[in-house]
Amino acid sequence: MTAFQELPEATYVLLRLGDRRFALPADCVEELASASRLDKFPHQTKGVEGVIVRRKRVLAVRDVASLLTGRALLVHRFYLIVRRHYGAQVELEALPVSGDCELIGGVVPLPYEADSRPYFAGCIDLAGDQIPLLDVDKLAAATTPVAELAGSCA
Amino acid sequence: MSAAPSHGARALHSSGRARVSAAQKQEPVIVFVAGGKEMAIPAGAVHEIRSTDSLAGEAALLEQADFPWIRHTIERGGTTHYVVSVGSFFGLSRTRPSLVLVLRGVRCALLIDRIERMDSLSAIYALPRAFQGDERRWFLGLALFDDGAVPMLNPRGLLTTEQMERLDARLTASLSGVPA
Repeated sequence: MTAFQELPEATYVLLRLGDRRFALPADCVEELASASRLDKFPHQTKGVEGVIVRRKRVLAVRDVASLLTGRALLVHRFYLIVRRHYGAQVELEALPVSGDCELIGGVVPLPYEADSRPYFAGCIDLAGDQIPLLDVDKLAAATTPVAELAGSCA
Repeated sequence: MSAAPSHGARALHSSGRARVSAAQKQEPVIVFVAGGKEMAIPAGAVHEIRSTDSLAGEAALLEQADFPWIRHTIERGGTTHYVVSVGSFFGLSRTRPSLVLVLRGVRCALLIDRIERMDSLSAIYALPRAFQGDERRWFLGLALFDDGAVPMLNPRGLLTTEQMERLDARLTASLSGVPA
């Protein structure tokens, strides 16, 4: 269970993965980009699908849908470009999402009683629908547990 | 063997935070295909390019269960080079390799499908930090071309020192008839 802490009223990005909705703090989102070419190459990192090139930067594409919904998105229609922290360094990563995202404000997140996984930082109540609020860094860490690098290279 | 002419790699300037080389000097690279996947290697790292047919008489067979991606050795300058099947190493689809790139400065040669083209780059991009596995050793970074990002193979990254020592010990043992 997430311990209750009063979070400041802020702006959030609502995203869709399959038929489920999640929220991210808007300040960790750089932009929403339409699908671009996904380049894949051999690697061992679980949860990372490949890279896209965005504004002359190479961004890792991280599959968060598998962890959050149980199945990866087969079609990448949009990428939510988010800021991931590595210590003091920040690096952009691309999260495939199913559809358009929505910016919402004027809501105060609540503890998410339904799920205690560490990457759920709370939830947002939208007309009775509890939308899990994600912690990007914890979510990324959960998709690639350091001790569980994939065995396959391809 | 033939290499198609350069089709103009994108010039990369100072905007990318991920850049690892700031020099504007263009470095020639060889873009090749192995296991159906495009990869690149600095041209300066390649000492010799040979067809597999032309090496048929020179290559010695080496069967090691724990190194299934090395099946042959070749001699160059009095030293043994281990021929790494790049497609097999990376677990890529099975193809029919036709070329061997004998590398410079390392006792390793690469068995590849074909050379796609020669090109030149002023920079390569570091692998995003999200990548945490052995790929950080296998690749120097990513090369950006007009048609996408291609991993730049690290000539010293496929065989670790420890693996090389094990292979050497087995080779010595097999030559002397003593099990390693």
